[in-house]
Amino acid sequence: MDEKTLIRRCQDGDREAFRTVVESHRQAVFSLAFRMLCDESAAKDIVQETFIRAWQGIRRFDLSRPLRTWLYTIAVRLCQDALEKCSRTEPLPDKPLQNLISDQSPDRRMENREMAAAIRSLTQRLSPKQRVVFTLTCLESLETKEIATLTGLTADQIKSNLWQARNTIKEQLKRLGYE
Amino acid sequence: MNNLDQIISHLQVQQPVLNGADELTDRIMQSLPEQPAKPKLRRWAIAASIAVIFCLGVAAATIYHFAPKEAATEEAQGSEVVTTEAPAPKPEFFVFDNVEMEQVAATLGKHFRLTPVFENEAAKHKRLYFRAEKSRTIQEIAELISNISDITVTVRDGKLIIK
Repeated sequence: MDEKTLIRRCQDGDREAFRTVVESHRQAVFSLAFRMLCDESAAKDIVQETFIRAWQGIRRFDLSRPLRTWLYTIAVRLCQDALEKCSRTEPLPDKPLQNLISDQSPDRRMENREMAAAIRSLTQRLSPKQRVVFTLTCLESLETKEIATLTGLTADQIKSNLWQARNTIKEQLKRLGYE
Repeated sequence: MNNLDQIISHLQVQQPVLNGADELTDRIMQSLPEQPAKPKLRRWAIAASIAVIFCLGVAAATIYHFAPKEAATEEAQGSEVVTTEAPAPKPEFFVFDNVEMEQVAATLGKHFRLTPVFENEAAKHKRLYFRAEKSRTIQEIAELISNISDITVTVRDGKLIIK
């Protein structure tokens, strides 16, 4: 069944069709939320809330738009809210990035905890907006146009936030002794 | 490649593992609320209905405006068609029944937008009995008054002059 047919069925209230949507997109939404929040439990909450909101709004969904972009838009906004509210700074493990620099085999599978610590050590000094832009650009590899759609930022704002984010991260790397 | 780019390229290829994906899906499905009821009429349907009603209104007004007023046809019961005369518009009249000329002049002045001027004070209190169609000109009515009384009425420079 193609995506549009699936969405039409969801718009008619078909829960089983919506389960298929959840199963198709849950990993992508989780990955996005995890990279933003660096917390597995919080990322799962974002996944749940994203799909609940999607279900509530699916009748208004424009079939000409990609579903993934719409789900990402919901998830990004939820993550932004979570980042604004959450200002906790948990202690980082020693040398959280050492393996990433010295590791010669990028295919080695990282554990969630290790990955979260690495991203958090990079992004902990970023503002929520810079963190969102950095994650979407550098870790999710999205294009500027799509990021603009997801965040409501202009291309110039995205570039500016990314530039500031990279500078802050470089300083952070120096502080941690990696540069 | 500097350290930052190396770290980013490592992190790009790594996907966090969604542990308990099916349990999370079940949790999501169980917590789905009822969808809001489907609106019975979509906005475009409402807009289209308004447009249709508007167009019908305009069409009806146009037909009414341009239709011949002398006659109207109406369909009677069965297939018989009956033609009837449209009712003629009722004529409107000035009716003065034992009314002083002062009052007559005020009424005519108001209707024809003229200022009554009495050059003969005695004429104010003369009483008149007459009826005239409102569609007549002030000159016609003035002539009528002159014919039925000894009062002379003329129009000059926006004034109704009574002698």
